[in-house]
Amino acid sequence: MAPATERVGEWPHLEDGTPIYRAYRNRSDFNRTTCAPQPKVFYRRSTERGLSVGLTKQAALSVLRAEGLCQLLVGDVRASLDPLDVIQDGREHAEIVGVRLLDENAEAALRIARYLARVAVNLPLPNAGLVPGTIH
Amino acid sequence: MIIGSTALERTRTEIERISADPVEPEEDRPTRFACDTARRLLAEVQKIAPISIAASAVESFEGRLAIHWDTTTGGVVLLCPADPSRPTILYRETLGGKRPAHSAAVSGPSPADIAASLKWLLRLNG
Repeated sequence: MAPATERVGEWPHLEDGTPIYRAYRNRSDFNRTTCAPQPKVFYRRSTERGLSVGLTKQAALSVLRAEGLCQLLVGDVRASLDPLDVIQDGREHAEIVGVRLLDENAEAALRIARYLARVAVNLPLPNAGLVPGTIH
Repeated sequence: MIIGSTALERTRTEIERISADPVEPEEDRPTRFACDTARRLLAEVQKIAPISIAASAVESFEGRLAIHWDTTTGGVVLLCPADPSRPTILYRETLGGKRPAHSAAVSGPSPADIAASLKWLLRLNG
């Protein structure tokens, strides 16, 4: 049974303090020099409506065969100069919306991706013993 | 941030590494056009003013190649397209904390534009 805060067909507004998790598709998504995600983690593909994020680490990692993940706060995403928001669309899933495509507005897409990479924090992979700086 | 005479070589090495990286997904691997564009522009920039700051990140996405140069106060990005139908983009920004305070982008930059932006970045960093 769904928690009381959930509504059928419409998910609750996410508070600014809510942590969200973005998975890395491959090892090159992690910058070994800065121990932070690369901006490319936050470029949107034309086939995507927004950037897929999990509301738990496990939810983020279940989407694909992830090579790692990072954490952001919903409030940090909303604090972007660009009009971004995080919209919950599943029990443990949300999307960062408002992310421009490189092909439609390269300046905005780069500004957004670089900002999100700066506020994101790299996390160790659960049960993998993976810690920042150990991806080779 | 690495500043010095080896900066260009480090960046070139990173371009070669990423273009041959077998773990890079097929759809993201930089095209030959993107890599050739980056190599040509960097070589021409080097003739105008030696590149003394190493790239902080070289990444590929849907065939493009993006070279990022970052300091604590700003950044410059050279975005090389996957094919000739799209322009090369030169992006630069100043930071106010983690947020960009100002950003601008130029489509189809000349080597002189790139050299000027890298010089601007070093000057911005004091």
